[in-house]
Amino acid sequence: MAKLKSDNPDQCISCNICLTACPVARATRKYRGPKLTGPALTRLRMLIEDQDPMLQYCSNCKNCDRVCPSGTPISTLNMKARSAYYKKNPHTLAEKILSNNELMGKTITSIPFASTIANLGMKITKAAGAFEIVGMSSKAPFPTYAKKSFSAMFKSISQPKCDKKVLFFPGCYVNYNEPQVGVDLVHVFNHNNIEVLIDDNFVCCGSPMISAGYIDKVQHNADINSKILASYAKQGIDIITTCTTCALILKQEYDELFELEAVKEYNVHMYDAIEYLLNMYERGELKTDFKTLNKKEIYHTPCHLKVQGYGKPTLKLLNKIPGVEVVDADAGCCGLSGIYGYKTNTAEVAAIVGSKLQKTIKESDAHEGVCECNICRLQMQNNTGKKAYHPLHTIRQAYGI
Amino acid sequence: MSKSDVVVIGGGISGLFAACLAAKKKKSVTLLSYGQGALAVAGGIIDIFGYDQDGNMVKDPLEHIKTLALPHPYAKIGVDHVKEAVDAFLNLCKESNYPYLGNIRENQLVPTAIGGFKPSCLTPMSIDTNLFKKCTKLVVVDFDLLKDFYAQLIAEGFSKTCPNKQISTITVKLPYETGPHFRDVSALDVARLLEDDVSILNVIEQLKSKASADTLFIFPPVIGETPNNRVLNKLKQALCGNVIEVSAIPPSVTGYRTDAMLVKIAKTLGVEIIEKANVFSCVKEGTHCKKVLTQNYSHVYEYEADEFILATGGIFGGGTVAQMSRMFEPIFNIEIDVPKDNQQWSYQYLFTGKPQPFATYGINTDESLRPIDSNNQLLYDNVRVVGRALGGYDFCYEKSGNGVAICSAYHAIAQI
Ligand SMILES: Cc1cc2nc3c(=O)[nH]c(=O)nc-3n(C[C@H](O)[C@H](O)[C@H](O)COP(=O)(O)OP(=O)(O)OC[C@H]3O[C@@H](n4cnc5c(N)ncnc54)[C@H](O)[C@@H]3O)c2cc1C
Repeated sequence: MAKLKSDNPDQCISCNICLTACPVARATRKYRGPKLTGPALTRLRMLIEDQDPMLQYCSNCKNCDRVCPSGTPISTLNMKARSAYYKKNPHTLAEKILSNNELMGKTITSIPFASTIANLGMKITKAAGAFEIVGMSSKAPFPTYAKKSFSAMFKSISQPKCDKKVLFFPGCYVNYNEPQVGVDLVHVFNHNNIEVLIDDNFVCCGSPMISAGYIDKVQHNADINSKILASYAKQGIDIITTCTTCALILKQEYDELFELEAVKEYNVHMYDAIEYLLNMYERGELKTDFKTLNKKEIYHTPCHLKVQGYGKPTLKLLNKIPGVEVVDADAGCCGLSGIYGYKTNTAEVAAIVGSKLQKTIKESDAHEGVCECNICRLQMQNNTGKKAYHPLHTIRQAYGI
Repeated sequence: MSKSDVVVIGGGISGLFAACLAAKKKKSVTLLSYGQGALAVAGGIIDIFGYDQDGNMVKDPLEHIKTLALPHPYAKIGVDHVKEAVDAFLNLCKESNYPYLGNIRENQLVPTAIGGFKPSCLTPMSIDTNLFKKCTKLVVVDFDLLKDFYAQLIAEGFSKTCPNKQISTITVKLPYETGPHFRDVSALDVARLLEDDVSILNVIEQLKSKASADTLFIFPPVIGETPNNRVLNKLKQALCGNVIEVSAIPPSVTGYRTDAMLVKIAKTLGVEIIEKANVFSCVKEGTHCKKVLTQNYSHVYEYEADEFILATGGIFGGGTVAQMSRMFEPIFNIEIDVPKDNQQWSYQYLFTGKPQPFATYGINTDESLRPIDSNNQLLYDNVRVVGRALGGYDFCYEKSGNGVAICSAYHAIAQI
């Protein structure tokens, strides 16, 4: 087992490499930068109470963690400090609303026509300027709600009985906003003789709450999710995610934030869906009865995937499909970083950060965008004139199923 | 599990350069790196050999390298490969449109952030030391609000080191917002701002009245962030060609550019770069390494290859680990020969200009850079050690850091 660096600000040797990689510091001087706001001020916070307003500018995108040669958990130090800050200071209305994504999603997708009304309502409130009143940006690309949740759709898919089973953690976005990703996953895995299980007791991984400074609330979710995940892992069942942020929270942040023992039992069984399929391909186990597709896609790597240390499986796998050419956008962070891009005070920073990716996609001769992260995809579609899909969409298309 | 011809561990200058060279030889290359290398801290100038053991400045690095004995890495690499390595580096930079100046037969005097000079061999175009010889007037350019750059101190330094030159300072103002809600302005901020043409014009406007054929403008390291010399060329065009940068505190913009250049070249050549890949162990058969293993908060990833390049640096970045009475390399579990008594590792008085014993501690290798134990037994037949992870030299005292890095990378790849 690799020895990982603990939650210790003194891990930082002040080399400041993180500043070169921080997309927020590049976009604005309102943020002090990862080294100072993270490890340096954490040392200070151990001595005195700190009310640094610059803390709100960290987007938890983790580019600092990615380049740190010392393995300092910089972004997590920031999130812990933010949570401590909110013990003494009130949350904004936007933070309260945006961190309630799961409740909203559940409610809206469980009532007939509620999603239509909610999506329409969102348009109207946006147009009426009500978003700005509660501190949410009307310019940001908000997701729409699905008519039916993924778990409802999942029940109507009849899967073949297979010896091999995996557990899927869909996460809120797939559950309530884009269930198609989950449906594609089930079909692609079934095609490869793998049955997909879901567990109705899963709750939100907690990512929006972490960003909004509600770490205490996340502990409750972490307890529930980690127990379920560990119980499957113990039976030797691999766990699949499609959302790179959910994966990071479940695998890493539950450990960094709460030191939950259960994490070590299941994180060795966790795989991103595409990573899993690529592994199968490399072992010669993946079905390759792909149709020729004739399309060019531009791929954006989510920051939360880059920091997990397994490269870019999507780039490798999609290029195996005949007629598919995938190019790497290599254009940095999308900027939205969960709820960060939707709060008025940080939305303008997010817009600057994401502009390079938008420009790259817009100017590319690719037909469509492709990306694992749900929120990144919203930015990839935002004023670029192109659609963006999860890679499973292309794989399913190639299988013709 | 992925399989490639070559796996490089470490993404500093030695690892990146090795990866590029291997890819140029049409090898499939995977580069695994846990965090970025020292370039962005240390700077982009390439020292080959600056000072001999008595502290005298070396005039001709190549001549001096001929005199070095084992276990110095240069003695293992050999003069021919040192020469070829420097050529390969210069060519790579040129192909990438970010050419370097200098040659292996001559040290240049590079201006420092305190108005002195240090010997170095290869420099980016933004540090053209010939301009110093040519110009009789020096203008140190400060930027209003720029932190940790001391134009006055530099000017005073140069008035001592260059007594025959006329020296002055000037402060350029840029439209930065100020106040408690804004971060201090760093060299990196200014470098990024200058990527914008309007800002360059603004700077030129404030400096051009002082420009002349023998006036040299000495800038902080802010001349653009992209390794393409676009900003430099615009400034030079407007300021009679006389523009040079000096270093400042980390992050080093000059090193950041060189790092970006090497990453770009590696990607273009098809090197698969896996970031945040924490290599923690290997699987071997006898003395043959089959694969290396990485793991973060996850299952274990395996990377199989025919050849492995160990480019994990020194204590910085965790390439070697120091404990009480012991130093070792953690991936291949290589013991490093050090005195049992930690007190002997260092010379008690810092900053006395004396070399520090610990500075030469590193992995011992045979002449083809493969690790050997204290009885000279080969530990791995397909692992080659490059860069700061090597023992037997003191980059800090002799000024040879990036030089050993590129030459050892070249020597290693030449054999595979
Ligand atoms: C402050 C300072 C100033 C300097 N100035 C100069 C100068 O002016 N000129 C000059 O020529 N030299 C200079 N040097 C020296 C020079 O920077 C180094 O010798 C050179 O950068 C070493 O490069 P490297 O690739 O061997 O190691 P590094 O740049 O340290 O790279 C090692 C890489 O390996 C990674 N790594 C480590 N362990 C693992 C692991 N287990 N798994 C995966 N990856 C791992 C690290 O994170 C890092 O990315 C300076 C050094 C310092 C510190």
